[in-house]
Amino acid sequence: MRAPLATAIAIAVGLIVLAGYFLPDQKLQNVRSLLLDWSILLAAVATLVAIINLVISHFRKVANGVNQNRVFSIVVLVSFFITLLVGMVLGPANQQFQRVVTHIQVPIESTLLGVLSISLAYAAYLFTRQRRGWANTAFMTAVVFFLLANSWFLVFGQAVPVIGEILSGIQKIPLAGSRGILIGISLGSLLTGLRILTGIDRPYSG
Amino acid sequence: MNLGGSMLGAALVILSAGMLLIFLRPNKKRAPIRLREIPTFNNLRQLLGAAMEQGTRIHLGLGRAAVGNPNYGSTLAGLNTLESITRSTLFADQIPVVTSGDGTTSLLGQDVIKAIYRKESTVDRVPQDGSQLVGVTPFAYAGGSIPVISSPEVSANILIGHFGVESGLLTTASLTDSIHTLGATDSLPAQSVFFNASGDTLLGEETFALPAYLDQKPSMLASLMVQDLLRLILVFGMLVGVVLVIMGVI
Repeated sequence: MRAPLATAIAIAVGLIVLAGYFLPDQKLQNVRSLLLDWSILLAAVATLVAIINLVISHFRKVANGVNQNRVFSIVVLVSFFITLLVGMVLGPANQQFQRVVTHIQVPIESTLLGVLSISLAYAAYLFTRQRRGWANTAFMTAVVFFLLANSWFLVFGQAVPVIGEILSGIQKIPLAGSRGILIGISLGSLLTGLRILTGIDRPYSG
Repeated sequence: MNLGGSMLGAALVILSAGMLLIFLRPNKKRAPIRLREIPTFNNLRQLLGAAMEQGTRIHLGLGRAAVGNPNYGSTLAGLNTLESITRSTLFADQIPVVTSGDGTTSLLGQDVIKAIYRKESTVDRVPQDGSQLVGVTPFAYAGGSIPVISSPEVSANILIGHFGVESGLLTTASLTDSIHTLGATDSLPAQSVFFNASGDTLLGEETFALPAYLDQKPSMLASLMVQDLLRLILVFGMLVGVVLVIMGVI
């Protein structure tokens, strides 16, 4: 086995954290929270390393890239260093600094959200045009049906005794479907975690 | 969590771990595992083959879940997929380009690529630019990934990990550049976006089956078998619960 020490540490820490989740022992809880605090620190250091990697990558693009890529990379680097410099001088908690950053970030992200809504509408149009099978016809029918079932259109039927119960049952069908998908995802996550916890899979080379 | 819930959770974990270890043991009497035919996986193999022939790269988006987040399981499945894809494309010397929205995931991605190269490649140079942190907020991640997807050297787009509705921007970038997209995620909103806007979508537990289909490693196959068994147990439990409720026992 490669890197047995790293694997042993990973398994031991994983088992302690997992045991702390299930067992109410106070000493175990203390060790667990200490290990989780360390993991937060390590994640912060990892983010710093990844940011340095990003900056180096953009410096490389400026040095070697074609015109358009070079311009984007220059914008990224200039914005990054201005934000870093101002953040270090004023401090990240400074109100003025936070206001400036927020007033740049929020409009940009709102614009992207607007673009997203148009993109999804366009993708939906392409979906109906390009995919013509029974499964997709059933999907589109279900979309229209449940949109109607959950809208004001059938709200008057809720008051009628039998129809109200039928409508209530219909409205729960998407919930049941999503729970089915979520159960599959939970089992997949559990097994993926267990493969790492038992050292069968190692997403780290050590 | 109350004591009953804790005990039930611990029992499920122990049961799963036990079954996983049992299925991992070699047993000549056991029939070989046949994986269900899923067209998406065949398409993916064709995409990998085409990328190697053309000398282009695969973009692998690992999403933006952070380590310790309950949604990190799908990112780990993404890292497994990265391992398989790097191994598949090793002979063409065209490593996948990986983007993520978390620093640790970015380092793990780079580590996976380097580990495969160190172990299995004859090339001395280990690639440096395989994995990038492109943005830490949802839209920053999407905005940072779009230039990578649109790059002329990228011929296919695989998104596997935790995404939100911002994944619509990534799939649209692929549509615009006529790049095939495979989407696999644990998030229900992103699954609906992928179903609507990507060429191939993996739903629910299929996300976690992707590495098994690509590599067919015994550990991955054992994991799939345990998943199927646990699902059967849960279905049986739910049916028993329904019958007991109807009978008025509980």
